[in-house]
Amino acid sequence: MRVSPDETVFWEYGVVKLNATLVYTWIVMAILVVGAYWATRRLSVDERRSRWQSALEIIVITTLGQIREIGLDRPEKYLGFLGTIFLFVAVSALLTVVPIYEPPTASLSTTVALALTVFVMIPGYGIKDRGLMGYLQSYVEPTVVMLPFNIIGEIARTIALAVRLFGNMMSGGMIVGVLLTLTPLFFPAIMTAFGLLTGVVQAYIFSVLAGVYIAAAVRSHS
Amino acid sequence: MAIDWFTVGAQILNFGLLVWLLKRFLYRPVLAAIDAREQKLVASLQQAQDTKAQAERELLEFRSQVAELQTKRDELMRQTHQQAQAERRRLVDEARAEAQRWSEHQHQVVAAELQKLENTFAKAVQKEVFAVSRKVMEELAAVSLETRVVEVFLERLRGIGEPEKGKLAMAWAKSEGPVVVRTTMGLTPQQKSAIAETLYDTFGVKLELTWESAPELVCGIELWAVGQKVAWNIGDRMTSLEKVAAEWMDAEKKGNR
Repeated sequence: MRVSPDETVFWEYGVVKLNATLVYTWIVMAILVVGAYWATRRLSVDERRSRWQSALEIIVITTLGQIREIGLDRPEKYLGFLGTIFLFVAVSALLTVVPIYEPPTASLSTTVALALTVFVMIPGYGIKDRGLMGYLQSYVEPTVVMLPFNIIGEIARTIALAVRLFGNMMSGGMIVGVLLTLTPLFFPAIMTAFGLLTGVVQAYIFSVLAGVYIAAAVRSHS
Repeated sequence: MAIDWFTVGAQILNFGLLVWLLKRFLYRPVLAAIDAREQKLVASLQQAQDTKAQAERELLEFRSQVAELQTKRDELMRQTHQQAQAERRRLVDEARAEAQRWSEHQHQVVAAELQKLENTFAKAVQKEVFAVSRKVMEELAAVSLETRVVEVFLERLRGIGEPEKGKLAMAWAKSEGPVVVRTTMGLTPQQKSAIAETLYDTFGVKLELTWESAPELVCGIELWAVGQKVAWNIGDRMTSLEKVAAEWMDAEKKGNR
């Protein structure tokens, strides 16, 4: 049984390989970018605006509100990173309604990549906000004894992020595959619909957790 | 389920690229549109507030102007009313004065007319009396009225009292011009000589006499010299008659009321 789309390789040259994860990622990226470009071609600044523009504004404003609720004071600074995580993961999950499509987030490589990005961005935002020494000092608080535990905590939560997303995404596909062999008519459709819901929830959880970690790094000194 | 580190790296690059592209094509334009709309709304609200404030200022100014105009109108109305009252009084006074003048004029005209009528009436009565007297005297006494007038005049001359006689004689003696004898009728030479003789006998002075005709006397004779007059004519008698007639008419009017 194939667990990850990484295993579907279309082309390979040495370590360089073009697998299904990358291809589906590009498809998701193309859909997001082309959709964004198409929807923002003619933005209106008047009271009257198109439905697409209204939908985009609702998404952006809601995302900003969520980021603000997490505790980040200037949500526009984090909108690009956290909003993109949410949109990428959510669209990856929603496209599972398309036959033969496999979400790139069902690949541990993708979720590890996302988790590593978060792992890098947390100190990035922390250092940008507090300075290098200020951020590093947070590792020895409240005492120096806590330094190893803080480092372990950083790494552990990064792994937890990656594995949580991977597990949920992969399990959705796996459950549908198993149920197809047992009850091919009814349950797979329900589970696919359920998968859409869990996919969006996971996107929300992943981006909110990333936001919470960033907020902790930025706020811990204040 | 192993991790493909090439894929991990590629996905990190893909994700970074996606972040940049979405910032470029999604977040920035949408945020810019939202900001622009907010600014436009803020500007519209500000403009609306400015317009409202301007309208309120203009309303206050308008009300002030209306009040001022009301005051001016009231003042003008009051002045106009006063002027109209004064003009009315002036016109009424003028009309009253004009009416008074007209009334006085009419009274004068009526009085003149009345006087004229009275004069005409008096003369007519005098003539009638004269004619009746003449006729009566001719029929009863076979004496003409003129003759009788002369006789009466001569009797009157003779009957003048001594003080009066002396005053007249002194006045006529000082007279440089002739004594004028005025009559309504032509005197005969006998009558003229009778008058001259009677004057001489009465006053003891030889007078130079001049004879004149005076139709306005109706019937009578006058003797003039140096402001002194001796006369008898029917006009004097008619004046007395007029007085009596007027008193009688007044009494009749009072009785009719």
